[in-house]
Amino acid sequence: MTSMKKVFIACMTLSIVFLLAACGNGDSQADGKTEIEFFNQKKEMQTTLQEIIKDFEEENPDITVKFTNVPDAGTVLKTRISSGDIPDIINIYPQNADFQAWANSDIFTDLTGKDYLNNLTEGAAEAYAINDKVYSVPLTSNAWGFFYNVDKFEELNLEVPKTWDDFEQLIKDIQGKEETPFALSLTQEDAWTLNGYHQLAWATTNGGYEGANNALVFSPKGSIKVGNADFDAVADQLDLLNGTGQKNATGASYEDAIATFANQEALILPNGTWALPAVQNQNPEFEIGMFAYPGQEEGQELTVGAADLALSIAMDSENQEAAEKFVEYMTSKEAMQKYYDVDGSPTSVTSVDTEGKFSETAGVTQYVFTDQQIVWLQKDWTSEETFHHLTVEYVNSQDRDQLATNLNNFFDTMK
Amino acid sequence: MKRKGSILSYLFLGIGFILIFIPLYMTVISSFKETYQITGDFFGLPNPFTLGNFQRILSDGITQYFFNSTLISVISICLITFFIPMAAFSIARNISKNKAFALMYSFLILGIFVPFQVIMIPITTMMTKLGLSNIPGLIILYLAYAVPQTLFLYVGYIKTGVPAELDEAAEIDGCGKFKMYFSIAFPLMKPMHATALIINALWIWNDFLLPLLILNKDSSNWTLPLFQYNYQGQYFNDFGPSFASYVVGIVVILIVYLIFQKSIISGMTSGSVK
Amino acid sequence: MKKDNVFNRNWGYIFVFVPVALQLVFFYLPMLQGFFYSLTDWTGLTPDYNMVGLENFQRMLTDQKFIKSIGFTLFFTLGLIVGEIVLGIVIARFLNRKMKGVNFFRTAYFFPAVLSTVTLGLIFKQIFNYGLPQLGESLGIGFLEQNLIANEQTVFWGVLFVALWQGVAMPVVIFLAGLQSIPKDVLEAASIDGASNGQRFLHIELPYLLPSVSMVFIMALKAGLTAFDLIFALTGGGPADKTTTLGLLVYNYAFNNNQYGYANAIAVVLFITIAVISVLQIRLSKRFEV
Repeated sequence: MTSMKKVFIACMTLSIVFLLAACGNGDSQADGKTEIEFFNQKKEMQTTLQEIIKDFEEENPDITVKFTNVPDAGTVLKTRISSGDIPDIINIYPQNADFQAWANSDIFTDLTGKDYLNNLTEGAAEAYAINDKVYSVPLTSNAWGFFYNVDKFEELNLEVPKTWDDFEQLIKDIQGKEETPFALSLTQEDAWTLNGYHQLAWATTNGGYEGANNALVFSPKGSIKVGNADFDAVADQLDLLNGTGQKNATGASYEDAIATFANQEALILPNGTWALPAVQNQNPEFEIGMFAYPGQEEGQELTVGAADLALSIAMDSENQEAAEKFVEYMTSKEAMQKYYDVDGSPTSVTSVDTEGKFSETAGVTQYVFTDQQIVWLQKDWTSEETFHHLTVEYVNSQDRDQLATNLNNFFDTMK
Repeated sequence: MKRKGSILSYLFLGIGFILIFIPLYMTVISSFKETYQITGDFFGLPNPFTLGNFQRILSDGITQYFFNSTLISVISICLITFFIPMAAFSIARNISKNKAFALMYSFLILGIFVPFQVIMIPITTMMTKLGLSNIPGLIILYLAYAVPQTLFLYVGYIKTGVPAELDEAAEIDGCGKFKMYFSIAFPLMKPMHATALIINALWIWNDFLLPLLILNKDSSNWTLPLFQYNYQGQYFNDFGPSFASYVVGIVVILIVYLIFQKSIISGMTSGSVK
Repeated sequence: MKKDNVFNRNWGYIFVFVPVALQLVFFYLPMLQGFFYSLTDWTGLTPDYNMVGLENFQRMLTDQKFIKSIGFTLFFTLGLIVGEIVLGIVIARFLNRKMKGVNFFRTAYFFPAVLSTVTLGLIFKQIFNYGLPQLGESLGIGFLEQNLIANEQTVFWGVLFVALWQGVAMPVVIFLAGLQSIPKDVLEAASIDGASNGQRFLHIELPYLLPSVSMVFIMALKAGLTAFDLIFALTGGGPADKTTTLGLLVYNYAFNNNQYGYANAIAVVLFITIAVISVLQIRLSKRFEV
């Protein structure tokens, strides 16, 4: 009994001391340096960004950068912005609905006409302008396409498809040679992996970004129907994924699909350029290549992609000048060369030397910043996740009526 | 007859044990594998066997997060064990005499079935505005959200485990309610303390969402689950160190259970009246 | 003794003060805010919104996802309650026998409770997708050859299995404690009378277990109605939204679909339903007590 009492008293003392200590604990900003917070969403690049920040701090001894990396960054950012606690510099994807809503309500600083925007490919920043104002500095771009096993393709005399018909034939040939065409993850959780496929199906059948969104989101309510030429064509293209994946594809996670491809159990991995490091982590014993989503005719290949590393500055930030200095530094060759050499996504910073690097993804990245790249269609949507889910649901079920209903349910709320 | 029964028992318990053991075994095995092997060959034995994951989590500062998690769990549990049984005692004694307490009881336990996701955004905003986006703030929230279920369990226990006759006896001895509660009623609830402690410790130790929302600013404040989850990027999951840190988390909570297991089981035996 | 009279007279209120204040500030205040937002079309992103009256509540009536999700949550909760009570008692009775090594099993059966749900999701996904199908193939059991949590017909049972795998650990401990609380002489009398296993359970053990049953019942009800983590890690609510719980649905609407107002409307309906049921339940149980 007495030991219980002792434990109890110890506990209470500890709690009280701790709570008191915590209450008296104010912010300490002793050394007179300006501190800016950089909120990062690209966790894969944490180490490299840390190095770049170090370089920056050496060049600007009066500024310290607080580098914030959190798990589940999207959720955290949303709650932080809605409670008015906005980081000075944010790595945020300017094609997403969140960004656009925030830009519209003056969360970000207007960067239109800043000198350092000239360090980027012409029009790169303007592509994401909201009401003709630039709120985001896009530094790299991702791109979606098909990874393939170059060695196996050579061994089996297979060729990269140039048209959609070629592609269908290719899949038949692969199956004819007793190989599995696709490494897929057809679960609701990892449904995002096929987002690019479904979007490109709409874009190639409807002549690009505008055509696709005119059919999907700028059409009257309930107008997506079985029997519409474009709907049927899209559904046909989605059908190519049914039954052509590895065994267990319906329950496979993103990592499982990567492992299947890397272990040569399937020859094609539909995914974005971001998957390359994960594939390489598996030490594949073959050469990796990529090809873009084929169109109806040769030369109509498309890729979908948008800003990957893109920086915005908070309007509320008390350190506008320091924040801008950092953003400006990020558009320099010194910073972005370091970044590019690790990440490999096409960069909009023109001074970066990209010659002959990252040949694995070149088959897709060659189209980035050309008119054969479209921006992710969700730029004009209010959300996207349901779209991922319904894509996978259709691939698994082949129920076209349900697909049409799901698409209408999803887009009708935005119309 | 008796022999047959015990063979059956062993068989049943043995099958159950295998079912339990496999996932645990996978966790431990995976912590000795490189990430590429976990992704590529999940069920295989570690080849090569590596301690690299444990070295990695050590150098990534797991001790700090371990300390934070321990601090948060211990203080929260202390506060929970102080405030909630007290309230439960008051309610159990007054509920039939006083309508106000019946009302307060409903008021306190209504939150029990509401998913936390429902109040997630307002609560985060509120904590930021109150300047409580820190460890003390998190502890306060744990105390608040432990109330419905823990209170319910205590009230049920007190009705049978701490008979009202004891109060009267104490009053005759000249004991005030405070003294009566702390010196007689509180110790009598020992088995319930152990049960509530395990339930709440499991929850707080493994909780991810609340620390994520409240402690997201300064990574030096993080808890173990945030640290574990931080190895999972959107496009690349570093499973090796994650599994190593899972193992560390499991070992701790198992030790806590072993310490309190006896109190729960034997305590309920001796303390039971009917 | 006279000095602390004020305290002693109001001890009841002093004892409940802290929990009541905490619930008021950290639960009811945000709930109240939620009530307000449920009448708006707020996206959760920017400060501006419009009042839309009861539109969000009307939309719920035709929202297939909401209806699906209620169905799943109810069945899942029911499965959890029945499973935890039945399995919990069966296992606890085995663990209550006097035999060698039983202490080892008592500890082992608590293991599942210590794994975090994230780990659990990762591991069981692998087991369902690769482990079980392999087993099914080598044993020739066709049913096992497919992935049970990727198939719309079987996913419910797969998810329930994993939830029970972890969820039954704590009930076992509670039931075991209940069984141990039966006085020795009662048990001896029964064995002298030659009571069968079933008789012994029904007439002797069950009455002693009733408090434990009601405790486990509430815990399972809570775990079912608020289920989130495990589902999130295991199936993400799929396939085809077959396993989306109400918690997950609210989360998805609020954070992924940017329909914070609508998400709150669901939350409000959920809260009111639960409140009404709880109050009725408290009333009813009081009537039976007397």
